[in-house]
Amino acid sequence: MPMVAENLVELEVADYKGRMNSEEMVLSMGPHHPSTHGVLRLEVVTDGEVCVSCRPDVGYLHRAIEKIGEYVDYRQFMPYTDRVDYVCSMNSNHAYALGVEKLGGYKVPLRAELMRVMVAELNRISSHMVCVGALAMDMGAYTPFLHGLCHRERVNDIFEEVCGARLTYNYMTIGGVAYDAPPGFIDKCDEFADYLWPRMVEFNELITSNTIFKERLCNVGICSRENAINWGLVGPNLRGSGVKWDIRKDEPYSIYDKLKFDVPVGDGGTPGGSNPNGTLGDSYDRYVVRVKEVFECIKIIKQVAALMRENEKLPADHPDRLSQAKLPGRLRIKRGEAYVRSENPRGETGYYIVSDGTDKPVRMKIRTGSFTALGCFEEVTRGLLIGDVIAVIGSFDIVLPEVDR
Amino acid sequence: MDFDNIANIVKAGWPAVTTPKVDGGDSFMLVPVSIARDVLKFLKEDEDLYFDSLMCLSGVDSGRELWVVYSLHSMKHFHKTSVKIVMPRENPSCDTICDIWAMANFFEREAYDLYGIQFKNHPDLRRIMNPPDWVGWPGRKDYEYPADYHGVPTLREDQFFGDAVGSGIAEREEKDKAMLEKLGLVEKK
Repeated sequence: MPMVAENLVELEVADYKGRMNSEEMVLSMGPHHPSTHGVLRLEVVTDGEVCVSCRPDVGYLHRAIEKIGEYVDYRQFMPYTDRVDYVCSMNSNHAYALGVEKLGGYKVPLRAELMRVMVAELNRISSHMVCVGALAMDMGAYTPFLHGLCHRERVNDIFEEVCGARLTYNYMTIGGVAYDAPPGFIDKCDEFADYLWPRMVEFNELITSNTIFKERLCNVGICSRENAINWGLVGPNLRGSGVKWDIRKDEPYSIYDKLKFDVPVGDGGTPGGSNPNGTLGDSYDRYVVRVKEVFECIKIIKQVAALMRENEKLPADHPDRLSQAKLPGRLRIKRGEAYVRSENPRGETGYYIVSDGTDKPVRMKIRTGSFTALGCFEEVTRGLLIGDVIAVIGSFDIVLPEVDR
Repeated sequence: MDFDNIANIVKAGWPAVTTPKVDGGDSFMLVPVSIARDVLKFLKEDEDLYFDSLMCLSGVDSGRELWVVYSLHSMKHFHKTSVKIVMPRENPSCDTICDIWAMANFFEREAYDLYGIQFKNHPDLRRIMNPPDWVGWPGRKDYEYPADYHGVPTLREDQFFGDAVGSGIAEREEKDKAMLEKLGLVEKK
């Protein structure tokens, strides 16, 4: 594939080759390597310590979820969407529900939308906690990972009260959510938001501003703005490259148009920014975007909690108080096709659903952020040191079940 | 720009492009396979359209024929559209768009792996989800799951819904019973 940057990078590798003067060796990294974040195998061609080419080999977790989608009806597919990306099951549920609702033309009550946005943002926090913690752990700092998991544990406790599960929730249904909020839920979310803000400030002091950590990530794995769009990067990876694009903001779904929040973008290389010594679109930018997003999530949770309190004042039989829309037992969706996307922690998750008028879809295609991130991996890692390849994997926040589906 | 305006611009250049009427969901442009690459290249490069982002590329088996659906989005003008091409089930092939949108590389490999669609001039058209020596196109509707892979059986007998392959429920129950007896969980008669 001809790339503008390719020639430049090749020159750099040739430069290294001259100095290294060593033989090329093929190194098979993974599929059971802890820092590949799952069962990913990388075929790395090395010249000394330099990665000449790095080809991802995926498919170890292929479970044919898309094909299963053609055999089960629309409601029965919901538990499978949990397994597409288990680190943020709520967001996966939400993406799928939005797809079916758009194709079927179903309306969702306000109460259900509030619950959906609340749990989706909580899950976004817990997903980012895993990402930033694991990235720090890959870079040799173990403590931030424990901090991250500690905060995630609190989110899991809330979810356990909401739906009984801690990892794969199966909470949302077509046209609403499975259960209304348990007693004390809003207070707990509020409390969690108050708890997390100072902890995140502490987290930043602990690792984000750490010089060694910055040195490991700045100027590593650079995606320019144009390349990021061309490679189909989405979500925090795209925003790390300086593209201000957030589907919650630019193509609002659910109740996101009523909420106030910022869209953080990477600011590498700009004086006064978070990494003035870096380049726009490097690994540190992608990391910082995630950390900043956690603060935005906290803001959203506070707002949604206020909206939910207002909603509770309505009489119990008010249409806005229902947690589920009344839909027929067997959903028959009219003939048509739709591509519906939503903003997940790993970027745009799109469901392309083709219906032929029966209760089962003809095709259920899931477009995920990690899959496209791996697509550009070969270009991004060319010429890097092997240790930096690990940093790039961590900063792209790849979750392998989402890649293989 | 909304869908009708975009479709009219494309139709002015290529009269063979049609826009079938849809009752629900997204509208799409139906483009003949032979000109699909030119149309997509135009959609990317035209200043007023400028679809710089390919959101999704899906291979579809509708039961009668195979489709490839390109969902496009413009980060500059914030509009979107989708383009569909239809191919016969025997020897489906179309031109690659890897050099137009780099992101299509993995998605075309996936469509090749699952539906057997040949993308001409693709730089690296290999299987991606399945092992390289896999036989058949698993995404298609008429795909039959192989009974074994390298001599290892791939299907298990199903104790709830009868026999998927090989022995039936009765035998299975016999085995379960024997196992339970061995473990001392039920009394021997």
